Amino acid sequence: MNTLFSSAPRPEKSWSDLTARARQAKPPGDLDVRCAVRAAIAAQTQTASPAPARGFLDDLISLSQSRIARAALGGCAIFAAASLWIGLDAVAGIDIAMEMQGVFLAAF
Amino acid sequence: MPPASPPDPHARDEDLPWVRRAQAGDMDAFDALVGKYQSAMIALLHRFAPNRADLEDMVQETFVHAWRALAGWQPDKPFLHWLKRIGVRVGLEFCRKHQRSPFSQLSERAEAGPDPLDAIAASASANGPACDAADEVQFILSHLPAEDRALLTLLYLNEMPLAEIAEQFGWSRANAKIKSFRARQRLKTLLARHEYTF
Repeated sequence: MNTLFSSAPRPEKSWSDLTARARQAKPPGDLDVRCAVRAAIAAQTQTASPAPARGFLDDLISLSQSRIARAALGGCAIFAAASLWIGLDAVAGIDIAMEMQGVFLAAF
Repeated sequence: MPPASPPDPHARDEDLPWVRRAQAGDMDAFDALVGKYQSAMIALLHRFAPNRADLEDMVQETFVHAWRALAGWQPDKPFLHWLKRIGVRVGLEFCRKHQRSPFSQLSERAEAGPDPLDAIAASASANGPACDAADEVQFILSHLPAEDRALLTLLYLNEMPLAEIAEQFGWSRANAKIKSFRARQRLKTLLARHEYTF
């Protein structure tokens, strides 16, 4: 009879008994990882070739190899130029206002 | 240059020249350290994975991590403590990789279905009762979050004091107490579901 499907009352199971039995399990005594560790380290040392340091400019150049990225970069450049142009106008306006304020104050 | 005989397992101060040589890239010196401490790492990690292949992977990974982090070792603490800390992290990583999905937590016994614990008990008999028990403990713990599983493994199977567990994980003692309390609560709930007494 298959005990897995039986409806008989299950014996009481205790966690402390189970862990006590589990603690008696002995680790394998013949395990030696020295060769495996040496091989793994050697393999890692061979594959880890020093990568050249990449700068911001290198990233930009690598981006410019894609058409979409090139268009986006162009857009960014145009936007930056327009912002600068508008910013310059605003600075010039403030400068005029400051100058006029000086003339106005000098009158008194 | 020191002779190529392995370091004395009883003298911790003797590790220093071997570690210094290993830090300088001497693989033979590191090999000697692996030979000296692999049994301690096996004893620590076989509680996480009774399966031999997993255990071998974990022990190997611990020493490979140690080799990479060797430059950071300071002689103010014994080499074995530092190595154990790496081993515990590898164990935690193993628990993360082998965590059961939250859906499997709903594996309550169906009316006509077998209990997975019974299945383990029925299938695993060749390895002896202690191995069966270790498998069963890990099966139960695998339903808990990875950090809980690692903590409870160290607590119940390695019988590591909570203060040492806190040190290994880099937690404060108060934090370790809280984490241990919560992990035990979750374990209790899980055990009640599987008709275990806690």
